Amino acid sequence: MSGVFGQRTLQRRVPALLAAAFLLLLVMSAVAPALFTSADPLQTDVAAALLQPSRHHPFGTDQAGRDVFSRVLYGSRYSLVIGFGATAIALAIGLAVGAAAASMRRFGDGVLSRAIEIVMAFPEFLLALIVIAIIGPGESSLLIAVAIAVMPAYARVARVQTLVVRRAGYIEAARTLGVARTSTLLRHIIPNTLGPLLAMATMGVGTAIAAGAGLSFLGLGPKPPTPEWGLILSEGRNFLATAWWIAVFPGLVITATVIATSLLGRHLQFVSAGRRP
Amino acid sequence: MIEVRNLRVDLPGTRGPAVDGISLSIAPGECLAIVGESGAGKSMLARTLLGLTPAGAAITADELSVNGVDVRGLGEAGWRALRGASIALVSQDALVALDPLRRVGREIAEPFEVHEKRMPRLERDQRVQRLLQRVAVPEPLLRAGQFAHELSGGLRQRALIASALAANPAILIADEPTTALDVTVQAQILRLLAELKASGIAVLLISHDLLVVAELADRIAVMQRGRFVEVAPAATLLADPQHPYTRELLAAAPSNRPRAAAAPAAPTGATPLLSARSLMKSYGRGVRAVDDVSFDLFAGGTVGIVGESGSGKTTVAKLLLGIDETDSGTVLLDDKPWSGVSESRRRARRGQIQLIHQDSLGTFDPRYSAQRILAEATGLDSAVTRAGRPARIHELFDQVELPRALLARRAQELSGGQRQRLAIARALARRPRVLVLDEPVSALDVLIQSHVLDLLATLRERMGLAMVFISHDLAVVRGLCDQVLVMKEGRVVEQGATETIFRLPQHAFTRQLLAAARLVEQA
Amino acid sequence: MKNSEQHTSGLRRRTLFGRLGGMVLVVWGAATVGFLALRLVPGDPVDVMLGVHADVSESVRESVRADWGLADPPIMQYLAYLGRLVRGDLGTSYRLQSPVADIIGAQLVPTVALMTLALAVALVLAAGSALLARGARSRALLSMLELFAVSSPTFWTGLVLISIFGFGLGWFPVVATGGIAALVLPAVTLALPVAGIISQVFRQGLDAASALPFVDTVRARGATHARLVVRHTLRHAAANSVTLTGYIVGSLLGGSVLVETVFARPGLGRVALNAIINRDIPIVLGIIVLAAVVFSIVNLLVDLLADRIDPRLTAPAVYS
Repeated sequence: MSGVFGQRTLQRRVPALLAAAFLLLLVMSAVAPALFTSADPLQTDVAAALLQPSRHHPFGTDQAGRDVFSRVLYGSRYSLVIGFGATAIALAIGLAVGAAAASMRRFGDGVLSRAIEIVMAFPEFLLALIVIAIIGPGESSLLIAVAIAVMPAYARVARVQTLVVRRAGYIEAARTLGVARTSTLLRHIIPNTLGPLLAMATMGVGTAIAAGAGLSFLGLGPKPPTPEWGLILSEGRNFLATAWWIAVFPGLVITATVIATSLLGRHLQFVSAGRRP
Repeated sequence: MIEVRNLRVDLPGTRGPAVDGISLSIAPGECLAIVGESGAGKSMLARTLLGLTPAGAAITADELSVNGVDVRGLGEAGWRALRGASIALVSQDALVALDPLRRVGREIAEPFEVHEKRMPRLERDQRVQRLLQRVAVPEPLLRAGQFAHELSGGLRQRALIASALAANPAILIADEPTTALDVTVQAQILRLLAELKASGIAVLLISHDLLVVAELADRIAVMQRGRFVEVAPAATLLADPQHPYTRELLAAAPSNRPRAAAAPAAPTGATPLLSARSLMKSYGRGVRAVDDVSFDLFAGGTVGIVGESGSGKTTVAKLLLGIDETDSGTVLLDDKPWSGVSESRRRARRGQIQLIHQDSLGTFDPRYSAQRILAEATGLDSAVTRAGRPARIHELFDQVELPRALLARRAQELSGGQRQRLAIARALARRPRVLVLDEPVSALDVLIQSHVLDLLATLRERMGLAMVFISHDLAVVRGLCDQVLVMKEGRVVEQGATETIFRLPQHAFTRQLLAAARLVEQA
Repeated sequence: MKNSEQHTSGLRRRTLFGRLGGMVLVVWGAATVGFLALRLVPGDPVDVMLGVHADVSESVRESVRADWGLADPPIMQYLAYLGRLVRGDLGTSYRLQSPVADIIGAQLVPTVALMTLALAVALVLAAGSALLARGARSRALLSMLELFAVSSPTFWTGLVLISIFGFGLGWFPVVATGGIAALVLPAVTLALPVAGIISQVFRQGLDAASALPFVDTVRARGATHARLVVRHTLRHAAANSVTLTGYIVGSLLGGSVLVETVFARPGLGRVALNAIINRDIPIVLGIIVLAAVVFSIVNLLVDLLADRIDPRLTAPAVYS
């Protein structure tokens, strides 16, 4: 028992702290990329094309002599908008749909949850592709497609969580204790329903960013020369033989972002369940 | 069969040894019982005898032999040859002790499949049938083809025993073999184990319950913190315990501890605090969960509701608390209608009647600390100002004898006993007049159980609480209640003053319950 | 409580007939949603069909419209579409001017080959990692690798593999040559995230099963570790993982769009992508319907398999 609060706790918090720090840096670079680099992501310089990573160009330069590091930094803005925006939309709609299903009678719940189940059979990326197929490519389509694609997962968890929390022993206990209905809702039902969903949404930001980058890699999102991670990668694809860095670094940043959101999400999952990490 | 001298087991990452200087021996046809609370090291001792200690455990002994084999430093292959064939294990709750995804017959066959050469399927099946017959399972052919979850608790446990016997072991380790069972089934399983013992098998019986053990054991060893504090023939130990810890355990046994209020004789003309009139409740396809239950409860009195699992006890509790609505019949609280009232009108009076669950863990919001849990409850008490809350919380903690250091803990960081005390404190925060207790101590070790029951008796006396005490444990009920209802399949089969019912049971089912309980009580 | 248990057991005890009915319903739903959504799309399909030659006279447009049944009221178009679907006719591509079924059929083979090899690679990787990692240290290392595999975007992994094994070491061809060697890198790329997920879930299942009380019983019978895993815990882990199958098939299908683009391979993914970019609606619809059919079949098989593995799923709820 004594070890539970000691060093172990701290050790287990390290990955989550690192993840949070990385995400914070990312957000800062999205808000104020000029803090980290003086290079212009769109400034071409044919003389400086395809330069290896160096002190001046940490991630090298691309075929038009643009600084890849600065392009990645500026690109974080686009990715974070997709990541947070799509997740927020999906979370809001998913919560509404899930909670509605949970509070409906058997038939309504059955129909809605079957529908969620069916849509969930398709993985996010495929769903997003289908949505793009329907609404057509473009920057805002990409946000909508990703949001719709990840929404069913939130709806399902919201439904289950609503049902579980509503039947939880502590809700009955609050009732027998004589706690008023609104207090029970505010103090117990909402926090316990939302906790796991927020943890899930944290992980979901990474998934959404990766899906968004994938779609723009396919050319379904913004057009070049916009500094966007998937787009940079797609351009780098043509220079793999001579300039690996154009494609490798943005991909590494995407991977790191997804890992960071997963770690932070897992940590929040622990905390929201009332366990100490 | 088993010879152990000065056994010591150290587990990695723990302070003291888990098993410390234990010596024991068991002869064929003998039963040695090891009794102690959870954490005493009983199960670790059993695992050591099976060679199933966790990785990194350090085992030393002057002698350690199982069925004539010196097992000190025995390799995994050597152990495998012993397990099942020489020494077998029957553990608690066959629902999870048998592989839930395999048919019972295949589970029973596994020991001889492991230890003997391949045999034709027909022969294997016949052998399984014989084993099932040996443990008195009716319709063995049918049972062998079913899964554990399709059998009743008693049949499952028998099947588990059959699988332990499959490769003809000389020694049986029975680790809490009856703990998950209803009392009548418990008695049957103990009888079966007694038959096996009589057939020459050496039995090492492990239990937290001295009285369960008394029936079967030739000798009893009392274990505390890894050591045997007392070893004696069963009759001697029960009649004349030497060690203080043994005495404490014995005294804690519910039947030895009357806590009944000094005859709160139903005051004539007084109105009952809580009154149930012909309560009825059905669920789903017309199954009567509760069928015509009535009683009156007066201040300071305690009514006990006994019965086996599924008898409708818990549903009665829900009806009394107004968590569930009665189909017909009424509940009066303080002589005013309590059933059939709107929730908002009920809420104002909810403080008067409070509930304690068997497992209170689920009744606490997992994000809340003990302090916050009590703050929420005291916040509902109009007699306590916001400023007065911390003092009131401390007062409640003191009342249930919890150390204040635990205020910052969450429920899942408390022990079972502490959790029940916290649940009681939360209930007391509303200054209730009636407490409904649904198996409040069933999940606890016997000493803790006894302490919590003492606390309840004290509170009842000090605050004039009336209590509805629901339990499967007749002894506990006898010690605490002045009035008893015996329930079976939703109906009250017998009802009356506690002593009358225990001395002169009228209904066959009551007699059966008592017989089963007494069977395990006889010393 | 009791009611809810009956509710779920009722759902689980769907008959085979009911499940087949559900399948048809799903395919019909997907086809209908796709049809509706694509009809709502702004723009004239005739423009799409005529492509760069859109600047033609109205009479030409009219004749095209009549040829394709675009002049009919939407409900008639829908019914005609459903009727053709039932007969297995997926329509004709606006752009490629050939039957959708033929286009899909022609591209099915490379994609199925890619997916099959990827699945095999993923299963080998996952099984290896789940069964080999038994020590604390190898587990920690493995779960890091899994996290990395699951988190890396497929299109990036593909590019990295190309630059290392294609351009760097020269072990595998960089472009599609049609040989099996050219299939290796794409298959590994597609397999990595899938392997990571299977390995994670399977190992969690195995760990969870190993912590169940019956494991003590089995070991106390003298069973070897191998017997414990093969006869007991593996089955529990499988019961846990089998529900992933649908997700995996979907990941492979979705991933193949990216992988085929990265490696410039022919296949369904490319067809789908081009159809999306060119707004070739019949092909898009055909692929949606195909995906729905595949998922229905996979989910049906998964359901049946799960019932066989875990008898508790079909049992009426037992409450004590």
